[in-house]
Amino acid sequence: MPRKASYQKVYDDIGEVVDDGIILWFPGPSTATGEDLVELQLHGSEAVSRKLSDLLAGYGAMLAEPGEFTFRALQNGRMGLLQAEGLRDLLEAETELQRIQASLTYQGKSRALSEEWRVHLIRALAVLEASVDFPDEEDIPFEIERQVKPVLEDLLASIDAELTKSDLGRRLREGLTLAIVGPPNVGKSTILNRLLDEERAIVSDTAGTTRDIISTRMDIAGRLVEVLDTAGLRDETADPIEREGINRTRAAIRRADIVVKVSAGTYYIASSEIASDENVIEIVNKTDLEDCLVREGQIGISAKTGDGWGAFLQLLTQKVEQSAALSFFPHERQIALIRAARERIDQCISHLSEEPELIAEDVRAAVVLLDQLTGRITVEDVLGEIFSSFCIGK
Amino acid sequence: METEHYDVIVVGGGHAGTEAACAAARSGARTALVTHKKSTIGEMSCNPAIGGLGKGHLVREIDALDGIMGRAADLGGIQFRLLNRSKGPAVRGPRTQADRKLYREAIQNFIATQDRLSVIEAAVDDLIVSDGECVGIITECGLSLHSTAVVMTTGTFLRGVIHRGEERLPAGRVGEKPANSLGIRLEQMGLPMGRLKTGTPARLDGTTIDWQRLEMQAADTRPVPFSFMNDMITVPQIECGITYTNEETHKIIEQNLSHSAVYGGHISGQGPRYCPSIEDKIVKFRDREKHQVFLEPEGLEDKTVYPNGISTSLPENIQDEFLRTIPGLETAKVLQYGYAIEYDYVDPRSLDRTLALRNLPGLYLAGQINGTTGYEEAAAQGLMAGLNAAARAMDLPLRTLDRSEAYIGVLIDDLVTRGVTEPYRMFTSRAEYRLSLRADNADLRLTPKAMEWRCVSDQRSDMFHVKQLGLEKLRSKMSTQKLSPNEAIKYGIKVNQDGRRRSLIDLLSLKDVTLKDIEKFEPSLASASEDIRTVIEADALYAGYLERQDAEIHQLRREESHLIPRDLDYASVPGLSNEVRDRLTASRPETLGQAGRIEGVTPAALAALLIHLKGMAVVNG
Repeated sequence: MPRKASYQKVYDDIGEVVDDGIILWFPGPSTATGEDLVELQLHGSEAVSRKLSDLLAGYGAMLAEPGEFTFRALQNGRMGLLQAEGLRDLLEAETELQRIQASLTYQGKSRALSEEWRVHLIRALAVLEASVDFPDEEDIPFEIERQVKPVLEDLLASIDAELTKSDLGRRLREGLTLAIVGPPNVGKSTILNRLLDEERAIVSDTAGTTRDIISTRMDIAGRLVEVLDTAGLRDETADPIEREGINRTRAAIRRADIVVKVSAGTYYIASSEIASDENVIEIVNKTDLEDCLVREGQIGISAKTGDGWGAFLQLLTQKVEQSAALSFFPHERQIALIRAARERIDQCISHLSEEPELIAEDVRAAVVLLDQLTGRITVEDVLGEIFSSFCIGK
Repeated sequence: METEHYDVIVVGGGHAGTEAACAAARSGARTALVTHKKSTIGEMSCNPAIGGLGKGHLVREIDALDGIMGRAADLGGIQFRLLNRSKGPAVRGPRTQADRKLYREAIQNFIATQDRLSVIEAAVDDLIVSDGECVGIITECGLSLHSTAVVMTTGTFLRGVIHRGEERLPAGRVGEKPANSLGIRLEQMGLPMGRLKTGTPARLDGTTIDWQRLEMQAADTRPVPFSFMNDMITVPQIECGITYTNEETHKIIEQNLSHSAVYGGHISGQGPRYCPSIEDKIVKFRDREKHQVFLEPEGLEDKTVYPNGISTSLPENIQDEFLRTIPGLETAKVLQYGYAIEYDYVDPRSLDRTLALRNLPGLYLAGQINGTTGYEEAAAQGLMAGLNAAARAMDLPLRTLDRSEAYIGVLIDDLVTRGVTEPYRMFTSRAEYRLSLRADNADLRLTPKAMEWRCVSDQRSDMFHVKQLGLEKLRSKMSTQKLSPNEAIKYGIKVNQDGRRRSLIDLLSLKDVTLKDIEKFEPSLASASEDIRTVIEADALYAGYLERQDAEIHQLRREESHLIPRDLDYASVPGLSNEVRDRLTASRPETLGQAGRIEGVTPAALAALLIHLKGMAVVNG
């Protein structure tokens, strides 16, 4: 049966018209899920869709669970695991770069790269297996080291290049965390407000106004950034609520990808609290006041007047760009599998002079790991490679 | 005409048929072997050799199950060579050239002396089917033979056609009639069938070969027997010659490709990629300047030589012409020209794990009829089919081996779950657990199983018990005796100075530590048999890997233990696509593990199937 689109009226069980619209019929298996699909394009008011759901339920239809269509597509082999992960990311993407990254995976680019790695492994495996299974053939290369080493080394280089990007990709997918921290009353919330261009946090002159963490999501250079405005850090406080706020601030510092450390006047936090590293931006706020001293490595701003703001934004954008970037494999699951495969390949390279059946065992294990990203291996893949590249037939 | 009733009838006297008949009779079944020609029982139709990589493993396993191939090869082997001697023990494959006559005589002797086994000389034309079950056969001259089970091993005889140049000759092999009515009969039964092809080179008169000019390859100085029951080989050993084709040879073949039966487009059947004709080699690998040819004598007193590597279906005059260009063969006389042979096979996916046809209980298929190639592959299937046919007749449980137990398990599982697209041959790379499926431990893996199945002679059981006891004793000594790093170093064994005491087995598993180094500490190791030493050494070498493999084997066994009901209605399993449903319905896997190995069955589909099976188990209580 071919696909079909037709204009139809929809009736309820007593023959009253519910609505009219386009009915699309997609026969399986060439559909999104691999099953037969019907799509009803009616006037999408709440009332119409509720009435229609009730009607269909009367015929035994059930509402799809979240992700059920993707799961069915996966189950029916219409979509690989990577693609399903890409689709999920695409559905959750908030920023432009997140969309681009998700679509790399969804459109099969990640799969293509892992298939390319697999081809390298199968090629290495073919040489190893051929030397095991066809020792009497003159056509079989016996210099395993010469044949296999460059293949595996190229592969390792390619995998390493991806792995260095993977953490950036994971942060791009999950979003970055930026914590604004400092002693009470240095203007952290004012900085957040300027960042957001809106009065999000309550600003006052009383120290310790922000007692809990205020979290805001924003888009910086295509990256999703969760900005945390924290309670001011100080050692002495009798207020148990403020003390709890300070504890939370310390936790936020630990999980933040980027920390903006704010000081003003004589208020600053000890370097024992936050060590200076590449993820920390130190700013001195309130340059509009007289006793302001900006040291080397610090940026002086006035969140109130906007003085120095441009320089701060530039540095912040740079840090954000360095912390999250496009990658083909942005999921923990994917990274863990690729790391494990990498370890096996590394093993092979350092043991190439040993028994070929043992090296083959490690290559095979690496293939299985890569296949867990996408599909399954069969021995026919290896034999196919052997027979197409070597002339065998004693 | 009516005759007595047998438990098992085996049709065919080749490698599958003889192994099937002996296995059935060994298990206690009253068995008849029906062959069109008694004198060719145990004949080697093609290459006069037994064993090789993967194949040698099969022979060892056949022997461990008390089959006859290994013992016959030990009696007929004239050039024993252990392949891959320089590599690890898992991938060493015993192989021998065989004296065609000695081998055939050995097989015929096993058949003649086997209790409960009679041989009937007759061509088989038809099967007797009653109430949907196969209960016997009808011979060409109309004789009906009844049985509870029939094993068919038709080799290349099922509607066999020999091709040579433009010549077409219906034949099972040179000079023998094909089995045409049987082929038609199977087709009428609606079995999915196809055509395969294989080829053979010209046979040469060894007295006309100029051996002086050739590189020679000798046998191993100490031949390792196939059979666990033999500790030495007494047959004299010979050398093989090695020569090469050259550009002149290739030119002649290339110019005459259109006369080749295969390249002339006369053959539809698919040939094996690993055993290509010389035409194939030249077309597919144009840049190779030469191809190796092994000149293998067919017997101690036989002047026939088998030139391995140049099978062909070119016309006779072209065969003469290209042979003359090969060094050493300039004046060689051809005794029988090479040819390609095309024959019927039955899609093995219509069989279950016991090699029985799902749609015709009582009928078992083994050997080339199932799309395999090779004597060893045929014999292995014959053995299992014979055991299962006997089990059916005697109402005993199924005899099966899984992929983690034996190459035989790999072979049968591949056939019945994946089918074939070319003649199927065993390779070590087909066995995912090859580090544990070794030629050296085939008896340890399988003989206990065979004893449980009661298909083993007392003599073999006794020998096995002695070996097993000896091995266990040595193993326990070697794992209790421990050395400190200082003690080890004193004797020249390099270990980490970590203060850890290591057992002799641990030390043996270290790189560069050999049995010789360990003998100093355990004198009984030095006096142990070569068999036992090899097992100890191999287990130690692979120890790290075997541990990891155990986890995989555990997973496999778990999947294999989920049985799928024979009559499961896949349409009732929710979440399967039509495609997966069709594939499962066509293959009817018996276990969840098998289902997973069927092409196109995704892990997600497997999960859906498992959930459904578990649900059914709950419903059925």
